[in-house]
Amino acid sequence: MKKDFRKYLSQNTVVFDGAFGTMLQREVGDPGMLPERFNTERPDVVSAIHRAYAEAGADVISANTFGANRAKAGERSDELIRAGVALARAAAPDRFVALDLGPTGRLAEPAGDMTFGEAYDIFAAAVRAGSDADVILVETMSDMTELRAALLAARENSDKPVIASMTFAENMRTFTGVSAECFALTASPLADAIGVNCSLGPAELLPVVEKLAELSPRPVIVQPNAGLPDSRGNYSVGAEEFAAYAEKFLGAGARLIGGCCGTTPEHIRLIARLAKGRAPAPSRYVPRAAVCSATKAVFIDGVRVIGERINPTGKKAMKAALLAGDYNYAAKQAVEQTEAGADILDVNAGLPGIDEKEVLTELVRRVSSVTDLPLQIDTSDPAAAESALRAYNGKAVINSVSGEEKSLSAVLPLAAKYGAAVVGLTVDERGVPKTTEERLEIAEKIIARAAAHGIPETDIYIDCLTLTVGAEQEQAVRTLDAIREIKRRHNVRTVLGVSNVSFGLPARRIINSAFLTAALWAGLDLPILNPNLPENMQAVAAFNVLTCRDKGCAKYAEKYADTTAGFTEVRSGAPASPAADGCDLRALVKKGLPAAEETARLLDGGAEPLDIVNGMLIPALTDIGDAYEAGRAFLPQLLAAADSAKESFSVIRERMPAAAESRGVIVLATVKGDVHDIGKNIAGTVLENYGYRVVDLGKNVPPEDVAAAVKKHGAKLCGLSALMTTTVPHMAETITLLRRECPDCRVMVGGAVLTEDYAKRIGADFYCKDALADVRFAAEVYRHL
Amino acid sequence: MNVDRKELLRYVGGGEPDEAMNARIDEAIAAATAAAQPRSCFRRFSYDGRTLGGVYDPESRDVAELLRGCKEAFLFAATLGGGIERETEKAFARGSLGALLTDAAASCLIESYCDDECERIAKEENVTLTLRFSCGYGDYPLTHQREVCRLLDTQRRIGLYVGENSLLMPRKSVTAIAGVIAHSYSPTDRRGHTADKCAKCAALSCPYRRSPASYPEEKK
Repeated sequence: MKKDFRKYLSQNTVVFDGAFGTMLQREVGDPGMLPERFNTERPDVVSAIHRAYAEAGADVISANTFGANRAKAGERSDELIRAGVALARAAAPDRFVALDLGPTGRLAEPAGDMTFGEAYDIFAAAVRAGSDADVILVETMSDMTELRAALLAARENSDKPVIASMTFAENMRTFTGVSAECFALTASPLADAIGVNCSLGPAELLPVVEKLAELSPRPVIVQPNAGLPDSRGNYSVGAEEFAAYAEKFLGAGARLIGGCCGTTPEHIRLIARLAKGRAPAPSRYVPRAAVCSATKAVFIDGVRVIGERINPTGKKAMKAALLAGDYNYAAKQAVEQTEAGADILDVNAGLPGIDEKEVLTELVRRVSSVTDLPLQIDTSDPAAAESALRAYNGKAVINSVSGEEKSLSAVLPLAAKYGAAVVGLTVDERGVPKTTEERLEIAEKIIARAAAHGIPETDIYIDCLTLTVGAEQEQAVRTLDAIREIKRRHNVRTVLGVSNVSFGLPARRIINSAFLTAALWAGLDLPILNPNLPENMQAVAAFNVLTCRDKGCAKYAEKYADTTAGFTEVRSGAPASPAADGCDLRALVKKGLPAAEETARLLDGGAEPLDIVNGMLIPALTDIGDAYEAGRAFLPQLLAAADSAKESFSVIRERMPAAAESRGVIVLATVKGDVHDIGKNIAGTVLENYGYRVVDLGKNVPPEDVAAAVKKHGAKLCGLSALMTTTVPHMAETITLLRRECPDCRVMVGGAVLTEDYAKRIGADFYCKDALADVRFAAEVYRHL
Repeated sequence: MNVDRKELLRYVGGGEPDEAMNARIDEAIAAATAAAQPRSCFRRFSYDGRTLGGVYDPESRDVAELLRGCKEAFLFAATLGGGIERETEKAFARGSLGALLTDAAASCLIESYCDDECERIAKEENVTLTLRFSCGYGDYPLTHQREVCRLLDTQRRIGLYVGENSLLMPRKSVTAIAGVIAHSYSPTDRRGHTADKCAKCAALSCPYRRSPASYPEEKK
């Protein structure tokens, strides 16, 4: 029999089976081995459970493959999956068979050590091994990386329908913080149905189901536990009570229903009776414009600010950082913009001389680890966009598609496949339009082409283009007219980079702010701007007050109650400056006080950058370093000074990158398998202050990546960290590889369990006992060159 | 759940904080506390002098010593969740001092949370427990993390994973074993038993070893 599951789902309320694990335990007690091994060792037990559910009336039998992936079952994985699917098929030949895919049992980055690629490979193998099933059920997921890997693996290795089900805690989030909103927005484009299972009983899952049904255009599945287990692991919700909840689930919009832990064929019998012959519940989906990260959804139902700072164009320091492989600078920009009130962050790595695909993808990863804001992936290279979209753990915005044929045919399929929103730029082969009508014509072409790919208007953000009034003065008004008109005609959102309007004029911020306000009144939803400039956020806040979006002026009052509305750039990272207090820069740094303003003041006063570095910063660092070595200062004081010096260096570098020539390159990494990187991070800050260019590869870094970075950057010194005795072997492995591949590179190591002896034993050149040891070794290595 | 400032200072390498440093410490404690999503779980077993319920042998003389005379034992796990990882990363983007302090505050929080939870569990189950003893302490192999987490089903119940190298993930997590020394809840018995937590432990080079007054301060 080959029934079409998609068709059946469109016409019926679908009944899934109930628990497998708890049924198995009932049968055999603690299985004492991977339950999927029963597929080959006790097929009779497995078949009997499947038959019981089929007899109870389940439409779909989930094969006993939940934990049969390669991460859990090793090399027997494929065999156990094939056997599991075959058993389900044989036990219930007239029902659908689901390939059941549970979690890998490993935690994904950044909190864990599993990469997206590793997760993808594990699921892809399982999907191929289970190709005889009728439908793929990805369930009990709590991590967005793992869920997306499973869904993409299913989509790309099979044409079977895919169901995505996560497991939520009482706070309506998964253990890794994924909310129902983020799950619905991210998974809906990648699955045929989405929903929730396990962890909680039916009472607790009802609100989650209600939410998912409103947020997702897909049918919703629910498979609750039979209540919450007591301390002995018993489940208390009986079949009758369960069925009463099933009625509520169907009323709330659920279209597929089954049971998880603790449910039995009796539970399924009663819900099957309810569901049989029942037409599917009508969709309760309410389309809304929204994007999200794994943990935060942003609905575009008012003005939402897109932060523009993570972009090397016209920004010397960002450019230098990206060229040097320094992602910490971008991370800092991300944190600053988040704190300044941005809602979405634009991420751009378009720079001649770098591999945009690689750098943009890494940038997306690093920025995601410090902010929960959704990201806008800003690139003109479709390959880079796709790579970044794969890495992104949520629903992103692609910036952008234009009206050009080449762009439409390359970008729209990506937006459709990954479920991203997309910026539609109103330019085409003819160039930048001069009239409102031309802008509208191109916008409508984009909207129509997107619709053909199934992309709804709510996911299209039209950019009517800001031109420079210094060159084409009459264009500012055209832009505003186009915004007004496209919003009147379509349910799209509008986006606009504001600051280009003033290019070439003095006091640009005056023009920018006025244009921003005008654009908001014309109907601009998504201004792209620098949120660190107070007048930008003030314009938005005022607009929200004047248009009654900020009810009772509450947010405005909260934000500006104590403000004298200064027009200086706000920068986070340090508490507000207590002013120089008569301290010179050297004293400020030594005391670990904010040093950026004083540095700027000195530069403005004509001080030579090199004099500041050699005459103040280096002596201050030497003072505090000496005090630390002598036991008169402690690590916190040392780091306070290091942070302060870093701020100062950063101001100098922004003004004149050449003033901060590096003394040498040092590659740092926390080794594979280890996620404890605080020591490595501290070492990085200190080394930077002593003039070294630090390429920080992050944590859980495979040996090959360390060697590749050392080669690429020509580093003569590499620092490795590992916390535990169990990860030190990876350190040894990395050193061995470095010796072979990069014989000129010296290696220093640090970490809680390391000692001088231990470091020697694993082949390191230097053992770093504290935060300053690295500096001495670096000096030794680079002096000898 | 709270942060013991003295403990925090010990983690970050000591020193007398001045006013500015104290403000930074307060900030870090607030940030870590807000980011923590603490969860715990436990399982109660009979103890036969060697195994827990016939299903788990800790293979450790130190654990056997801890559980000597006990007829029951608990396995316990707790985590602050992954939110704390982002908080530390975020702090690092602003500066390394904030990252150090946030990380240390989180270490203090998980310890304090474990204390609270074990106390709560003891009350609820009406028992008095020995001190907690974790994989990696003394001769209790770190590699047992995997089995302890499997028996507790930590992944499904509290979102706690074990990496390939026996590292707990998210980082600020603890698993432990504790024996039942009395079948009623008695804080007095417990105080007597756990007066000197780390002094009992053989893991002299453990980076998290506490130094009670009776114990010589380690060299940093």
